[in-house]
Amino acid sequence: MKIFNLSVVNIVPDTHRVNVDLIAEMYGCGHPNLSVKLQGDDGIYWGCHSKWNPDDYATFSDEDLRNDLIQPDLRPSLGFLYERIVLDGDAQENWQAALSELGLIIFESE
Amino acid sequence: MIKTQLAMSVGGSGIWTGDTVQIGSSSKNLTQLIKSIFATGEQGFAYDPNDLSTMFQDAAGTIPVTAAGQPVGLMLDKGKGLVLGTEIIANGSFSGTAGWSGINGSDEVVSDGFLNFINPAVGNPNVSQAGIIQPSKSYRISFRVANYVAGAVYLQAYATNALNNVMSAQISANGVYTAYLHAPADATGLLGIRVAEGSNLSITDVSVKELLGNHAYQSVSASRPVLQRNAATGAYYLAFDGVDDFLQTNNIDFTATDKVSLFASVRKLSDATQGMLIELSAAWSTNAGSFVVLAPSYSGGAAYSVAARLSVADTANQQSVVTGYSSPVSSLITALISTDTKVRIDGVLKATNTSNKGTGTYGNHPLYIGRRGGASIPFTGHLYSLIGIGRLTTDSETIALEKAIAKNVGVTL
Repeated sequence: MKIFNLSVVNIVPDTHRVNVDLIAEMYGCGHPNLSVKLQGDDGIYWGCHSKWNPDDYATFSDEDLRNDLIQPDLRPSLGFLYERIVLDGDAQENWQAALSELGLIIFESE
Repeated sequence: MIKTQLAMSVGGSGIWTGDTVQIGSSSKNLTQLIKSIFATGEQGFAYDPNDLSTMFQDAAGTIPVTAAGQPVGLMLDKGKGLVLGTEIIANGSFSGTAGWSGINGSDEVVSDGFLNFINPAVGNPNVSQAGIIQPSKSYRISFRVANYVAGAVYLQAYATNALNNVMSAQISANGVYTAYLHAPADATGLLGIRVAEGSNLSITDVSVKELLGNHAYQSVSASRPVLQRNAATGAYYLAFDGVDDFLQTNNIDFTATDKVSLFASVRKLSDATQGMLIELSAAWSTNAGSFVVLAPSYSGGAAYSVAARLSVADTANQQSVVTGYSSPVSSLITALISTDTKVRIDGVLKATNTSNKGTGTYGNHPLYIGRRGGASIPFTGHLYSLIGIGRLTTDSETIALEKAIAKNVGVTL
C-alpha cells in the first residue's frame, strides 16, 4: 500500500515553467502542477508543493529514465528545478523554508 | 445491526458500531441524514471523507483511497445517492458496427462481439459515438479488454475547447476497467475511443452511465489534498497544504433557488493569510449568483466569514464576519443563507447579516474547495465534512446535521 509522506517543494524560474510542466505531464501528473506564482528580486518564479510516495519520487528523479522519457529539448529545464524534500515533512514548514531560502514571496498583482 | 429502544445488551458493547440503526429512534447516521435532506431532489452537494468508498486517488477514479496518507483526486457527492443513470452507449457489445463511427474495417475490425484493434494508426479518436457526453456531467465508464497483446485505451469527451477532457484507463492485461469522466462545460457530446500507437487488443461491453451528483475532483497531482486521520476521534479528513491544494466540481446549477444552507466541519491551522474554504464560482465578488466561506476571512484575522450575492446584485456587500477563532481551531461552520445570512459556529448563532444581496437566484458555477478559482488564497487546514443544499434546512435538520458532523472534528455542541 502506497503512502505519500514525502513533502516536496518544486520551484522554477518563469522561463522554464512550461517545459517542467510538460515533463510532469509526461510522468502522469496532470497539468499544470507549477501553479503558485512567486516574485523574486530577479523576476517571476512558479512553485508547488506535493506529497509524493518516496519510491515514485525516486522514479521521477532517475536520470536514466529521464533520458529515455524526456525529449532532449526539454531536459535542460530540469537543471533549473529547485527541490526541497522532507520525509514526513510538514507542508507549510517546507514551503515557507523554501521561499525563505530562495528569497521569494507570493506574487501579488497590482 | 438493528435493535429496538427496549433492547438491552449484556456484555455486547463490542458489537455496536457507528452504523447501528435503532428502530424508533430519531438518531440517524450521516449517510441517512444526507439521504433525508436531499429526499426531494434539491441541488447541492454532500462530501463525507469518512466514507472511503467515495474517494479515489486520481480524478478518473481508477485507484481507490484505502488509507490515510493517500492523495484524494476524486470525492464523490453523496447528495444524489450515488445513483447511476441508464445505459447511454448504443451497441456497447459490438453486435456489428451499428452506432459507432470511424471503424475502418482494416485494422479496426468488429467480429464475434469485439472491436479489435490491430496496430492501427493513432486516431483523434479512432472510433466514437455522438450525443453521449453532456456538459458538466460525470459518467462511470467501463469496458472489457480481451486478447490483450500491447497498448492502451483512452476515452475522450470532446469539447469546443481544443483541450478536451481525456480519461485513460491503465491497460496492461485482459479484464474489466472502470473509470469516471467529468465532462467539461463545453462538451460537444462526442465520446471518443483512442488507442495508443502499437495497440493490439480487443474491447467489448462498453458502458457509459451518468453518475448523478456534483463530484469534486483534482486532475493535477500537486494540487490533491491528502487523506489523514484524527488520532483522537478516529475520523478521517482532507488535509489541505495551504499552498496549492484544492478540489473543484463541474458547474452546479443553483439557478432554481435563492437560498443555500452550508455545513462544514474544519480545523483551521493558520490565520497568516486569507484562506478560501468553499466558493461557488471563481470569486464571489466578481461573479453574480455566488457564495463563499473564508477561513480565515482576512490575512491575520482570527475569523470566519460567509458572503453571498444573488444573480442581480449591484454590489457584493453582504458579508458576515465572525471573529474570535484563532488558529489552530476546530469549528463547525453553519451558514443559512436567504434574505439574510445566519452564521452559526459550533451550533451557536454568532452573526446575522441583513445587508442587501440583490435579487434573482444563485448561479450555475463550479464549486471550488480549498483555493479560490483554483489559483489563489489557499486554505490551510483540515476538512472533515462539507454539505450544501439549495434551500434552508429546518431547525431540526440543522441541529441533526450539526450533531452528526461535529463529533468527527472534535467539537462539542
